[in-house]
Amino acid sequence: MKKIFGLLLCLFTQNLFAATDIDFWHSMAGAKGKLLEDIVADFNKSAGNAGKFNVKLQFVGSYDEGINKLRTSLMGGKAPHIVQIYEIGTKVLIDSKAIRPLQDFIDKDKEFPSDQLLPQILSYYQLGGKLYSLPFATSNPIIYYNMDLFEKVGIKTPPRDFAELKIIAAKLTNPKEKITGITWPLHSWLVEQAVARQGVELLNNGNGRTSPATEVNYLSPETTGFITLWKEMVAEGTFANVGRGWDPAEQNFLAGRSAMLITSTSNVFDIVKDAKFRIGTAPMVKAKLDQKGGGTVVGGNSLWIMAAKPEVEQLGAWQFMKYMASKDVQSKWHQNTGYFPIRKDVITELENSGFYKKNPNARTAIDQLLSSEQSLATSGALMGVFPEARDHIETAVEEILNNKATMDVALKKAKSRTEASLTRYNKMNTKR
Amino acid sequence: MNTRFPIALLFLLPTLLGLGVFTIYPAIHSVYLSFHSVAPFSSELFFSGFENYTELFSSPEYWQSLKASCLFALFTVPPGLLVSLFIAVLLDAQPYVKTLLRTIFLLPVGISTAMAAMLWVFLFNPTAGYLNYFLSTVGITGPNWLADPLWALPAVSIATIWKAIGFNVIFLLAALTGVPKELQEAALVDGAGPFRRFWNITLPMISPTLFFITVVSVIHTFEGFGQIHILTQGGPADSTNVLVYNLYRDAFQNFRTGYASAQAIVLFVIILIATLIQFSVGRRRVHYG
Repeated sequence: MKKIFGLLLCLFTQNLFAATDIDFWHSMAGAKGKLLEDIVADFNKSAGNAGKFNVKLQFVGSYDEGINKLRTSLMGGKAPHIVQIYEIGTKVLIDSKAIRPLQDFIDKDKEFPSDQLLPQILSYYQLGGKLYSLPFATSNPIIYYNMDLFEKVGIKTPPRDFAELKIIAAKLTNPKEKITGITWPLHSWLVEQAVARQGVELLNNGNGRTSPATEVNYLSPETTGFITLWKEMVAEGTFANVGRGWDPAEQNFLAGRSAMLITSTSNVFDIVKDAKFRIGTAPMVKAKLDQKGGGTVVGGNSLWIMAAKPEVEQLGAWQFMKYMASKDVQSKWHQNTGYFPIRKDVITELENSGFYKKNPNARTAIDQLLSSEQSLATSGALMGVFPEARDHIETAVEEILNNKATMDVALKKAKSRTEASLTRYNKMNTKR
Repeated sequence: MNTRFPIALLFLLPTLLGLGVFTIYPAIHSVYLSFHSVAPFSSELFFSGFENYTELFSSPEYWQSLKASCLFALFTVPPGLLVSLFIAVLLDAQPYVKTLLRTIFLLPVGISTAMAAMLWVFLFNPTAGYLNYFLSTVGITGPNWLADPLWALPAVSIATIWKAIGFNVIFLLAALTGVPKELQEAALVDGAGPFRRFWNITLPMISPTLFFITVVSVIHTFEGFGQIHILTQGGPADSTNVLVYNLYRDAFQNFRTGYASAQAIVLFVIILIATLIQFSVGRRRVHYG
């Protein structure tokens, strides 16, 4: 009898003190995924949590796969508590009404370090003054350059505008040794960044931020100017066009085949480590040296709290969000990946500890972020059909670079395709 | 009706259940979905009649996609078959190293499509890849494989053929081993040369296998997705945007479930027609010993 009583007691108390599970779906593969596992394990063990919540991390594949899994899980009523979504999924998630805006929690909790978060990053995930999700892994594009090759041809400083980029790329190009001046991935992200760098909006209606976008500005001189530069360098043989995807361009640069690379800062530590030559970094080029304003848009992903779960569990998710925004986590994440921290005090602290003296390349993207002029252009475009739009832009660039269509024809086609998608999306969205 | 039919049904039940839940129900549901539009990020359906189908057939992208799929089949099936047959015949004549070589040729089949495609990404890199390096040693400037609309589809086809050869070779080798020796010897006695013997005896004898491989290969190419997703993502300039890839984009990137379902139905009809044509040709050409 005693034994049974003891057993019952055990079961009862265990139930009483069992931690509530918080499901967290993410898309960080490889070393970044391992780092995230460590960060989550630290939370579960932390004194602040006191065994109340148990965050369960689940890798759900690429960003595209993750957002799809979320979509099907919402239909089946099996959504997680927290989900990591790429920046271009922001509008779809806001419109889905399946999420809780982070602002709901921030307004009720004084502990949240709102004044420490960088407004340049928050502005991407804000709509109508409300912050919807917690920016987690954020990045922007920078120029990586091979200092050995620069030295060889006697160039001391990296390019600052389109004209310098063209001249320097030409100087670095050496057909005999099969070296091209520059490369970057054939990715719409770089077109979007080049346009924002010139302070221009990609979409109408305040870049889709004052009301849903209905038109795109693919034919603006800022867009065509960047693609013209691109096309000219391909024609002159100073640009290595290695196609879509992030890897081929990086591979090309690391093999010493291209002297410069423009890509995300998110891999800066790996690139510096893997290169067999000295690497320098510089901010993304402007169109003209005397150009004022503009800046880069943050890329990457953010963390969302889903609305379907009971309030207690949502608050658990919120506790975890606060932890993710904490100084320790932000500092650790930044120092091990290349994504920049979302907090001002982390940057100041690392500056004082001499981290950026040792790792000057980690500083480039941060300086670029801080010097970006805050506007609707640099907050980034918001639209529900972003993945489609990116494909339309990339197809147009491919047609232009390969002389399959003129700039005007290709971009007009892309414009009408994206606008048709926008019309359809807006129509479906008002129906629900 | 056979009295044992209920028992047979019982034995078939596990398979029927699996097929029903994972194949037949989704297929029927796709037909239903294809007449609706789905609100992005929800399961709300709005009946839209034939709207998805009319949009599909009036879209120039879809016709380009159909063209890409047909070209893809043309670039992979006949060359893949010829190369496999060539290798199988050579292997069949080499009884000693046959097992070893057969294993080597089968290796790519064992690698996951994604891994194999990643390898090809490295090989196809125009300036840092091995393929163009080897071409340059013989004085040829290799093309910009994956970034040139002219070369992307052939490049994807090469990767696809490489991956499929092992599978084909295994089947062809088995078929070649099954060709009766007496027939060959009789032909030899009658004074037929090696080419004549191959054309008039070997080929008809293995034609059922060849036919089987052709049908399977055509279906496989129409369904080919993994290698395209990793190598080109449908680009450059939509040159590798085959039907399945276009469908994937609409279903899983653009969240247009209804439109994608309509594409799935059309793809099903296309593969059905292609297979029926092959069977009607096959009936006349294939020799079932």
